[in-house]
Amino acid sequence: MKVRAIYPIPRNSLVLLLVTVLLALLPHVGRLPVWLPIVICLVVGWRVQVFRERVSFPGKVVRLVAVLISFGGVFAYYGTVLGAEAGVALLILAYSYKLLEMYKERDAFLVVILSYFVVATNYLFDTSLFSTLYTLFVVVVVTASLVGMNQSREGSSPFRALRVALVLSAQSVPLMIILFIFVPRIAPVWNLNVQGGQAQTGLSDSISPGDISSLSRSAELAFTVEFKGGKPEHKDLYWRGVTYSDFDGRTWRRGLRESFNNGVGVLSRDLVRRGEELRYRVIMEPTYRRWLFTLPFASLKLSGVKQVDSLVYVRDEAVSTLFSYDVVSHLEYSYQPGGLPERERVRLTSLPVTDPRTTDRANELWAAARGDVSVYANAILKWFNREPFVYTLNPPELRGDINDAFLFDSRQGFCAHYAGAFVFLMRSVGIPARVVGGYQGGDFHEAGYLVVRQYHAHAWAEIWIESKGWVRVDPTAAVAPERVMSGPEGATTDDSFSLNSPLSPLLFRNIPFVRDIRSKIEYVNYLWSKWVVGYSNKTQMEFLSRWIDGVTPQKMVFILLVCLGLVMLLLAIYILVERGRARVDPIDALYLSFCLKLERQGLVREGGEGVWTFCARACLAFPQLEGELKAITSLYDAIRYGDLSQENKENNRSDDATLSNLKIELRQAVKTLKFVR
Amino acid sequence: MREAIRRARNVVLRRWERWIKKRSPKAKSVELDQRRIFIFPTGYGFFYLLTAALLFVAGINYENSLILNLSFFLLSLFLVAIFRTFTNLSGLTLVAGATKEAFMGGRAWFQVSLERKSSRTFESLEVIWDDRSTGLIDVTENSKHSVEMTLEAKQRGWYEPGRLKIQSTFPLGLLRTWSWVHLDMAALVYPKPIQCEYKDIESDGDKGGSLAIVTGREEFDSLKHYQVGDSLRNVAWKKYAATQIMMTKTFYALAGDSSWLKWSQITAVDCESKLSMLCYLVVKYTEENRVFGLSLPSGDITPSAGREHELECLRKLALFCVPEAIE
Repeated sequence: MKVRAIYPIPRNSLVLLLVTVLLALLPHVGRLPVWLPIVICLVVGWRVQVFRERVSFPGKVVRLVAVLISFGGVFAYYGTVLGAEAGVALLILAYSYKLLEMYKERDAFLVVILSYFVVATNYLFDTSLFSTLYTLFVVVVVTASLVGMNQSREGSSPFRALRVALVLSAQSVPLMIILFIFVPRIAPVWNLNVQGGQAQTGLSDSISPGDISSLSRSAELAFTVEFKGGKPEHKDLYWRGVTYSDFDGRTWRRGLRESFNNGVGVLSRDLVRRGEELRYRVIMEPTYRRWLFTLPFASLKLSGVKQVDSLVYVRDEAVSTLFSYDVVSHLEYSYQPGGLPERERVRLTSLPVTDPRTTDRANELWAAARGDVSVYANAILKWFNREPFVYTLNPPELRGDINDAFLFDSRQGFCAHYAGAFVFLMRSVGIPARVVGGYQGGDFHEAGYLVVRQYHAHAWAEIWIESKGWVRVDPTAAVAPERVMSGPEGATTDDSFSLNSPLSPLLFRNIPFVRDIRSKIEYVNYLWSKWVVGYSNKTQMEFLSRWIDGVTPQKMVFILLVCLGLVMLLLAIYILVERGRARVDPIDALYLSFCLKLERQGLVREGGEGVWTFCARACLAFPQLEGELKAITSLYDAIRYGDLSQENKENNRSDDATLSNLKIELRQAVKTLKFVR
Repeated sequence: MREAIRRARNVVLRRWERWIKKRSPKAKSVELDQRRIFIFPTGYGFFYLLTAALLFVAGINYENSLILNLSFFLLSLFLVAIFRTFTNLSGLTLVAGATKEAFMGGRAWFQVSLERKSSRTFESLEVIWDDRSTGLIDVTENSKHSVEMTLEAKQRGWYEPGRLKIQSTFPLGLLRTWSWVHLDMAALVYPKPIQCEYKDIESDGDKGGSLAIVTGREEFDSLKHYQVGDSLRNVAWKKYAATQIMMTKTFYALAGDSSWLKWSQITAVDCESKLSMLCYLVVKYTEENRVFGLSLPSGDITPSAGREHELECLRKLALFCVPEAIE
């Protein structure tokens, strides 16, 4: 076997590198297949054993086999090797296996560079403040291992390396902030779609009982809304996202044949807006879906976003990063009051032939309402309200015809059940209706913005009434009006609702202290999302125009350069001057002041002249002071170079005591030295 | 063509030599400052910048502020590292220290002291002199750090090893800072001893007459510090009684009448060979404790013996026909 010359990466540097690797990989662990972290631990363990000279580096064959098997494993797990998640898994594999190939300084450097990339990929999945702070810490450790690689043998210590890295990082932060604020944000050069298969949250393309149940319990942030001007009432907060218009007997699906309008033609003919306009900005967490959430009726002008005929907005690309948009809404409006196109009417009234009992009941109530849609709808709501219908997040499973089973047997369900049944009842008698999915409500934060969480997810119905147009009906409100008035926590006493997540805002919500802290944390997170994570071209313009008139990229670059120059100058002064303060030993200082005294008398000590030579010259120049001059010189000589053991014996004192005594004597002698001419 | 390249190279080298001489003249002690210090990214440094650039492009394309921020951090760290790397040399003082002479072709010993005059510390410095490196040195705890190097003695006379290079990549290894320092120091290089036969010339009356020493008598030479193993018989006890310091008396034995090593008696093709042979003889005669004198065209050294005498002779040989300007 060929013996490979191993670059002895210094012990401390290696320790730092291994710690770096583990720290950099930690946030990824949850997203990786279970076997991958185990592989990483094995690899790190192997490298440690190599360092302890218990085993040798793996041979070429072992490495090749390990790489192939892991590659296959990633492919088997994700079904692809492309895409963000599989890509990151491969990067992490390569990163860990590199440890088994780390012989030379160059390899160690490559591991450092890969660490930066591994940290960067973490930002694709998690942009929270906490995770960012953690990654900053990791970056400091990465930098420390870079320092460790450049320390001398004697001076190498992981803590010193960490301290140097910490100081360097702290000094870089001002520059980083200036770059962050002022570097003009350019539009993407090419489009990349980060679409994680498992990462989708929020509403889905289809809705069948059971779907939203799991959502309701999650307190994850869906989006925050900043109102400019007036705030709407809680009961008006119906955030429309998806419209479901196709029903197959079990599942409501998003209309596949939805047509897009250009947002202008439809409006002028079919839309009447009334009342005051409501302006707000929505800052949306990544959903990896294409639709956006707005209050009706919303005007939203943004490139890459289209309006569907059912007045919801769909983006060309999935929302894979924090995404914000400005909306103008008119809460009072009527849409298509004049009539529906024939094709639409057919589509929105079509039903499969199912649920005979429900259909019978619909015909019964429709006959009683004598063709008045409003009366009919109210009759259904009254039915929901009077009969023992229960709003619960844990409804029983429904078999067979789901509407029949729900309306006549179980009578337990949540918003999707009620909305689905309601729309079914409407369509049964030929009234165009659809299910709308989105969020209802939100929590107003003290700072004035609205927080909408996953448990605000809701489904309701919209029905079309001749001459009124589309009208929103929320059948859940008939069963559990609190759900609409105060949010989902008011609507159920179900404990499972809050206990699912240990950090659920619903837990301990009655303790003011906890609530207070929580609200502060939320506020910080909100600011973080808005100003840091969401610092896009638009936010940058908005932020800079607070201080600068007419922000242009040229101006930004100019300010960037000026600020950078200023901070660099300050840093230069701090690093170059501050750290170089002269440090004179107090004894030397005393001797130098003695020299200065002689210098004033015209006797200058030559550079490198020995103290005794100088003393001899001084004695020649000032013979009357010979005693003092010799005394000072011998004191200095004794302190500096003398062997104190002799004197210690005489005075019975320790070195330190003798030394401090001598110092005092020297000080006195220098002080009292006077020249008389 | 090749000739032209060589000539152009020489011109450039000479220009550079002149420029660096002006910028960093020869001195006993040199404090490194911005005039003398150079700084440039290493290969790693360029790779690191490429990483920052890649992250920037990724941040733009994924529209991810935090990835962008990481690339800004890397860039900022690089900028700070420029200062920090620079200060790892700036303010350091190099002082010419002791030297030890050598025979030509052997290794002359040089000592350079790295000193700091302020609280600023210097880490992981590397001194490169004549393609020999010291490894990484710290000047942190003490205010001085001596660097010792043995360099090949290439020419007879005063040997100046030329510019030394001091460099460092601390703290991040992304940038290298270096300086060329020309310290005013030289070591004496004796001729290379070449074995030869020499027919002794007994001292004639007018030159060595004063030195009539009986064979076998030991003559007192000098005092040196006592070392374990020295004979107690030779300790200067009187001196010890007075000063409490143990000294050993050294003697030289005079093997016979003094001889003369004469330039004119050596037969060799050139001057250097003659010097080499004389050098060999001086060393040999001293080893044999003989009394001898040295006669060169540049002057004579009267016959004597012992270490001091040997050094005097060797020095004379080393500096034969060498301009003494440096001394």
